[in-house]
Amino acid sequence: MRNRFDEQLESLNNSLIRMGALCESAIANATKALLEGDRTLAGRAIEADSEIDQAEREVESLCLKLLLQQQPVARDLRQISSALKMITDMERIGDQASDISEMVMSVELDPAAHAIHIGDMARATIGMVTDSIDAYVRRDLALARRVIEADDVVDNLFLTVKSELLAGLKINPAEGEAPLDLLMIAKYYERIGDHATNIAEWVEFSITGVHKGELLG
Amino acid sequence: MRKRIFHSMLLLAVVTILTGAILSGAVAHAVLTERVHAEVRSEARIISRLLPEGGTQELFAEAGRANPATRLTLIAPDGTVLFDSVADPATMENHADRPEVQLAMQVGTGAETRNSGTLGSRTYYYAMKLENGQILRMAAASDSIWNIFFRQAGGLLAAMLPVLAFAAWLAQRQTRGIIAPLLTLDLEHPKENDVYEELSPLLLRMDRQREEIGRQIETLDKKQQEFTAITENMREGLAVLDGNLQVLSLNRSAAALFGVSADEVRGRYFLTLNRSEPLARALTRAAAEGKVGSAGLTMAGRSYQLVATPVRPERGRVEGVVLLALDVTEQKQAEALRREFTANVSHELKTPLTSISGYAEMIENGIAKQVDVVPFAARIHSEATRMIQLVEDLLELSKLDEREELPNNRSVSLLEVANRVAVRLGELADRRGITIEVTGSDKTVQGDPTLLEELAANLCENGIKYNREGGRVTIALSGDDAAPCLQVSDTGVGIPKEHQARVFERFYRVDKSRSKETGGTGLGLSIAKHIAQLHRAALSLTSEVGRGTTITVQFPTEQKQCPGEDGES
Repeated sequence: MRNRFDEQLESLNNSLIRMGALCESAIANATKALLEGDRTLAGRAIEADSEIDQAEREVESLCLKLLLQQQPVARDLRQISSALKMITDMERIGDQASDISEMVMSVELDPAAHAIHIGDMARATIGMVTDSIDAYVRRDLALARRVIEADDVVDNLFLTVKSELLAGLKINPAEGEAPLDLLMIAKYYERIGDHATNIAEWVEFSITGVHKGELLG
Repeated sequence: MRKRIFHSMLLLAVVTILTGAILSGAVAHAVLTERVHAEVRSEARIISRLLPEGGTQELFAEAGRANPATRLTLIAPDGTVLFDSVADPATMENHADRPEVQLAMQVGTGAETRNSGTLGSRTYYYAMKLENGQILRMAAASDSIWNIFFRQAGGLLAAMLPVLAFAAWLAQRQTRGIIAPLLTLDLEHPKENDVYEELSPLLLRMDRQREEIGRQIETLDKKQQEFTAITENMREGLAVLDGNLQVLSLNRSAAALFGVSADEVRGRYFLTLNRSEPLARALTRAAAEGKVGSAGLTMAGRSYQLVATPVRPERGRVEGVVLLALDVTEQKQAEALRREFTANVSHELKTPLTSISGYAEMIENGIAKQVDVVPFAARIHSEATRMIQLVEDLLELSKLDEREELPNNRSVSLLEVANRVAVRLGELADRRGITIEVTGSDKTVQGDPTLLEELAANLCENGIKYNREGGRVTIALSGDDAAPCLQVSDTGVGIPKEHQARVFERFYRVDKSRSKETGGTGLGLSIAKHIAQLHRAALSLTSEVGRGTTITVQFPTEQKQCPGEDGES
């Protein structure tokens, strides 16, 4: 017979995975909308944002309840506190997926998007988000560290996209809104990559107790 | 148990001791009292005898001192106390009303037993009428029965202690005697135990229950095995989850589908196996709302349809979810092919219709010059012919699609078929400066001559159409009679490697721009493939770009020609 605390911890874990899955699908939909110009997918990504917010509140209250009522220590405490931190990052990912989708809705971006490396950037970012959640699900330290390293790839891709857009503007300065929007979208992806890195760092913390090379707690 | 045995033993011992004590006490009391009474009486008699007429106070005093246990009183006939060995007679009341005194006055002697003031002792009074009419009364106290008990109490308690210890020891021994055989019982074979007979009914019942349980376990095992055999061997993935979506069991297909081992994931949250959004939604819908949810999922290049069904006994809360994963890759592909086919057919039909309608419109509106009318009509005619050809091909294909057996199955000479085709297509070949030759010796196959001619003609027509000027098409008959083989080779443009696998598909064209020029419908090879299938023949293709194409129809050997075998090309 498992006790109530274990049950609550399990339920926290499950809610977190579910929330991660929601983020993954939101960013995947936003990306597909961007690259294929599918506005229904963009709409779905925007809808998912409120669902993610809802999930964040649920996990948050569950974490606080656990902290107050059970007063966990050691490993359990690490798991709960890292969950509390991770949902903030997940919620931000959901916001940014929704922001990307809103831009896709307002301006036709997909022809311009194919000309630059933003697709690669999107795929790399989605990979990071998926891996960071996988790392949490499987308690996979090696995978979490790979996600942290992969952040450089996304950062470099952002610089590439930026210079591509700049070159395009030099040739055709009258191109207008699209390059600016694309730059912002690229920045959003770069931010999503950062959030995925944060999640991976908290996964590392919940396993080892070390956060960014510093022993906490 | 030991306590209870101990208690009952102790009770038994105490009751026995007490009863013994009461009985012996009563007997002792009776005997003692009787003796006291007898003593008092005899003493009284002795004193009365010794007492001289009238008696003296001194004598009484003497007698009273001699035996302090007895009280001696001399009472005058009127009841006045004359002498008492204990109290002063002057202070004593009149004794005439005492029952023993009255009795003595009337009948000579009288006895009476009275409780004296103190509890526990009774006093026996004996009165005797002396010759001078005075009454001599003797009194002696005897112990009451309670007193005797109280005196025994110490001894009784002392006796209790060893009895207690003995009872405890005995209880332990007895308990062990009862329990020891129970502890060593062989429960697997209850009837073979050698124990005291009181246990036999229990053992018999155990034996019956054991058999019953054994039977039930066997039934359950069998059912479980049947269930496992079904689920483990089915191609569909099956996962049983509890109400919290934790895995209870996965069958082999499901484990393979999600890339896990079934034992390893037992008790894990299902979304840790796969958290794709549609699947998660379907599962939560089933678990939270108790409604059937379904989701499509693509994994490792195959498409799956997943159905999550809630397990919900008697409209209560959802107790679990059954997830069934069906591989729908083939259906999806077939569906895609059908869609493509419909799109192709409409496109192929639309193209000639557009030009027909265009030319006809020009003639109708008088835009066409008089001299152009005839060439326009010729174009309309040729486009219409093309459409007719297309529709005929489609009808042919659909007929072949429906057919499962040859309409007309007999021995056919392949050489005859080849020659007829060469003659039929001679004109078309001549127009393009291409020679058709037939080589090899005659072979006989089982089949429909019309369909076989259609097959050879379709292959040859392709050979002619996709040939270079002055090329050659060869119909070669080879193989032995048991496994005949018809080969059509050309010296034409050839088919690039990447297209080779798809040229037998309906409307598939290597070079889409050439279709009009060569006038084909794009269905020739597809029809050829169908005819070959009906004859259980294998169709294979080798080709080199710029050098030509060879298509081989390998007829099945006679032995292999069993009904139901599918001659897939």
